[in-house]
Amino acid sequence: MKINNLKLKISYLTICLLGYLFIAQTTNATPLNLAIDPPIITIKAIPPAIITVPLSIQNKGDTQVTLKIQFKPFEAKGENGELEYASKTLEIFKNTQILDADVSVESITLSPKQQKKLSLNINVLQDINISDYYFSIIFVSADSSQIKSNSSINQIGIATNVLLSVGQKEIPKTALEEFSANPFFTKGPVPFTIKVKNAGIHFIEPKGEITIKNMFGQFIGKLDLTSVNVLSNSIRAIPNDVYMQELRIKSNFDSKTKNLYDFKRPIVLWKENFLLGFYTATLNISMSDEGPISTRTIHFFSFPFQALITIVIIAITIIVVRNRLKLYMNKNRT
Amino acid sequence: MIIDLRLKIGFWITGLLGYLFVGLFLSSANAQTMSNDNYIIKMQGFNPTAEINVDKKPTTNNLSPNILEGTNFKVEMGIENLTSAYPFSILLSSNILDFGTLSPTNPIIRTIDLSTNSEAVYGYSIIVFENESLMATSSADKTFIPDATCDNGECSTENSSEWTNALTYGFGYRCDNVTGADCNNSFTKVNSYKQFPNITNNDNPQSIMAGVGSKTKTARISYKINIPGTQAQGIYNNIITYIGVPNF
Repeated sequence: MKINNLKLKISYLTICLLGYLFIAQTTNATPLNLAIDPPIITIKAIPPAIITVPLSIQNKGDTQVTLKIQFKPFEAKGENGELEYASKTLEIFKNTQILDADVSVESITLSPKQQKKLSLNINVLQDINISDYYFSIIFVSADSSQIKSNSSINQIGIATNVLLSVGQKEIPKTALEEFSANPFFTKGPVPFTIKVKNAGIHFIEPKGEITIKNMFGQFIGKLDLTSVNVLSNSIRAIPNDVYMQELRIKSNFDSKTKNLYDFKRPIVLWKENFLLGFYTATLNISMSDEGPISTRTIHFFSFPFQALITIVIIAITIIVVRNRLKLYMNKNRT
Repeated sequence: MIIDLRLKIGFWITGLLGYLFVGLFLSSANAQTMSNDNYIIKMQGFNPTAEINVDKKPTTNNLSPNILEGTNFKVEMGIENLTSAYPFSILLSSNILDFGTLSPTNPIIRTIDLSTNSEAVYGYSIIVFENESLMATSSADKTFIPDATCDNGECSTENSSEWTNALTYGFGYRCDNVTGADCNNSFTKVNSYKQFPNITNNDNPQSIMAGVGSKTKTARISYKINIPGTQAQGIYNNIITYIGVPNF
């Protein structure tokens, strides 16, 4: 009788334990962590071409994850390289696939910490439209948890961007939309705004520099522009590496200095603190390897009023005190 | 006496301006050129005291992008002049947010942390959307908890608004900076919330974080849910998706 009781008790306890473990397992929260390389792929092709590009995706988390693969077309959102997804589909998607060991896949499963090398395969057919195709390859986690409570399931995805330019190289239709700076400064640094408009059918990578002369005609500064992509039918503001570096440092802190260092409004920064006199800044920019080259000159003036006023006040104070002392000494003598 | 003072002030200012001009000349960076009939050598000024960045780590991306060339095509992978030991990555602290038992007029807030490392790119954004509103799983008539419209009825997928009233119902989110300041500016007001864009309603995914490419940035995402007494009983679920997107 006692043995039967014990057996029953053990069975009951085992069932309870298994039930608990089962329920606990279904509601476990786990972190999700993905990495991708490269983050951007630019392709220039002339039809017909079969293009294969390697890319790697890594599950940096501690649990297995299944990722669905999607292609999403995008266009420029602002003037700083941000993008927004379009609802249309692209003709090129019919001939675009992700290969895992030469096999086309629409989803992949990654073990914890596993890094998988895949290939982007694009078949550019002879009769394809001569145009640019901009799209992201997105890997999105697919969660199959059995949920038995009020909850939101969280998924993450990571994207790499593809800029595919199909057609012969040509001189692009572009315009230097803006090259400007404030006309007057009391001190540096000096921000320049450069905006390039690309009205052509292919994306461009303008390269250029700003040279700065003082009022005596001496070259006192040279600012190389950062190489960025300007999509077809869009405008992009171009920064320099100095500004990007400053932005990285400032962005780790609060938003007090965001007026000058705003990532949504890229600028070219001349980090010269002491400025005095009349300055001339000349921009030379080549819109592509084939041209055209644009040149524009602007002028600005700087005078350190605050510093000068402070110095003058101190000088006057010293003179007044000195004169008073002289008067006092003269009175004492007489 | 007055003439004397004027002269002295004039002398001081002249001296000061002279000094400033000398300072100006000293800061110029002249290029030197040597030439004869056969050659021209141009040397640009260099700064011997320029800082050398010793913080550079072994890289996975080369200074220039990887280049592939084949028949009729040329491919560049990565970004020129941008080094990083780490690839572009995104981390979410949990794959599920459990709200537990919902009780009317008793708001529940749950949080997760969202991080990204974007050193390998010039900039990035993280977009977010929901597959549908919080939907009762066992309900045949599609009972759901609607997305919040906040206290003034004006918050949406794009605009945030304050939500503190316990009699305001729905489901919404906000973003608070933990490391860096990349949360969308619309969350600067405390207790301001937005709706998740609903893909079923053809809402456009919205940027929840965006910034310049840099080391790890982290934001805390708060989900808030509050139901009225009339809400049908049930288990309510949906799927929230976050996608890390590098700038082009």
